Amino acid sequence: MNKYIEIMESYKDQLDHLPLNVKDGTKKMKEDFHLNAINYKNDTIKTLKKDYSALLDKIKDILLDRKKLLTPSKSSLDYDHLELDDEEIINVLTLENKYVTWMDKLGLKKLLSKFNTGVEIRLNEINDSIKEIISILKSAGVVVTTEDFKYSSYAHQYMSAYFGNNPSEEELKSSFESIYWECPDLITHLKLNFMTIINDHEKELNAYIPVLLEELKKKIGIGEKETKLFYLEKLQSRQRELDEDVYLVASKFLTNEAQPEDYVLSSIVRDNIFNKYITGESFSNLSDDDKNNFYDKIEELSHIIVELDNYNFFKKFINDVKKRMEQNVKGEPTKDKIKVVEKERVNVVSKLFPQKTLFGTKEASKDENLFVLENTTIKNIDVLYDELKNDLINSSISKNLNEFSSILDALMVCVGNYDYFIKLFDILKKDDETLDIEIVYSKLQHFVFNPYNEFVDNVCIKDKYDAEAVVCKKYSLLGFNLTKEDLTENMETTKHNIEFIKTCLCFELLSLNFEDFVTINKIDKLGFEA
Amino acid sequence: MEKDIEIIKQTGEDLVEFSSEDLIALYNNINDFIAYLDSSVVVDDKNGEDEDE
Repeated sequence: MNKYIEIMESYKDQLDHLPLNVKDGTKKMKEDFHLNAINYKNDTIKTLKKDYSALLDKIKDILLDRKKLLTPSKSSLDYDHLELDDEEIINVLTLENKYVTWMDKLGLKKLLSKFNTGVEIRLNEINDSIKEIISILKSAGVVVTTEDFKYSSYAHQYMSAYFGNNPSEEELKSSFESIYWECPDLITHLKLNFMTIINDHEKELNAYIPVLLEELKKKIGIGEKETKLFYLEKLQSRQRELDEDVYLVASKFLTNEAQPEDYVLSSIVRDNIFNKYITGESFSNLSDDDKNNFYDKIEELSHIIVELDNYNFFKKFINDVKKRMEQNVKGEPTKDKIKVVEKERVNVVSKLFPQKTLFGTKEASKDENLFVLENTTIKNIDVLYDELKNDLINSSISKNLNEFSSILDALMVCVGNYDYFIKLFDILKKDDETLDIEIVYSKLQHFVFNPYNEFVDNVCIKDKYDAEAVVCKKYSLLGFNLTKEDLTENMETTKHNIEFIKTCLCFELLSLNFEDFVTINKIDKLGFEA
Repeated sequence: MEKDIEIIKQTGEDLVEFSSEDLIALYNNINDFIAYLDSSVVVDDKNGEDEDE
């Protein structure tokens, strides 16, 4: 390279010292000399510029070729599909779980929650839920018709339109609107109507659960294996796939999310991160066995950090369960109250439908007072059902949990009853308005059924514990330097460091060089247009 | 006038043997050199002035 630089320096020197004027001679001679000298200098510059621009192009081509060779090609893994697999396994775990109520196993409470009037209601969502509930009932062998929707005259009117001659979305909307102006509580009527149908067919729906479970297990290919173990193996093999995907492992260096200079062996940043978790010696002095052991601990720690993050996110759920355990409320007193009011409703509503008597069919009453009474009774029942939900939550807690129950058992109760989840979600929402119920429920499901859970599975809900201190103690016993601060105020740094160490390990296993990515970055900084 | 700047034709055939680090450094050096060349172009305004005189 020096040869090229020397030549350029020589050109510079010659151009700088090229005489443009002459002292001796006539004015004409001086002017001619000046003009010729300028032309000569400019021509020389033009020639040099052309030559060196061609050299630049040549270097650019060589560097772009090298970048292409060094850049890993895009991954062919289908990540969306991998996520879908997760959802299906979680569905199986839900169906198998003893803490999940039968209605929740079929997703019915979640569907019915769409009818809750406290939240923003969209008619198409209501209609989708209706469609889905009817489909679940049908799968369980329960075929519903307009006749099943006589909980109220308004519910009957809407469902008659629904079951009518294949109505369009617009037709349903207009039917809904015309009823809504007469009875704004139509959605509550529909919800209670569906609840009644569901409860009336508890036996058939319960019998459908094992059928559904087997279908799902067959579809995913779980076979005789324990689902939790199947899930763990699936997660482990997926992690291996991800770790072996060169593009994925290196992508953070291609998008400038991370600087490869920090990762090279001679980097002080790298030394500091590795040595932080070693007690005594530096990482480079460890034996191969100790290094492998260190990497295993880092892998475990990455799972514990996910667990701690989730634990802290759902801490208020655990506290609510604890509070209810202390209150120790038993029984479901509201059930009897509902029975009484339901009788009143049947009495009123029956008059609003044509009735068969010994003397023929008695026409439906058009007494406006009866319609008002019908709605008031149903509104009272709805309030009682809300109280019943609370009774059922408390009775599920007192039935399922005791002083030996783990934190995970408590969280299972939360995930196993969507009505309870809604109440708990409202507590979280007070602190963060932006939370989305679907996302938080999915997060809770993924947390509760995560086969890597360790701490929440082993600590009793009644114990007095400090989660971060428990984890630190375990790691210090294993000769790992981890402080409580690393898991609290410095948690983000710890996550970064773990990711850093895992990337180094992946590079080692894949025989990749950080130096190559340093080169790619430097080529990128030259700003070539590909 | 004596034409005393000898232009050495550089084909750059040896560039493929350079390390990427050296190529990047050379690329920057050449860019600086081209900037120098651009700034060294002489604009002749003296001639015109002389003619007016």
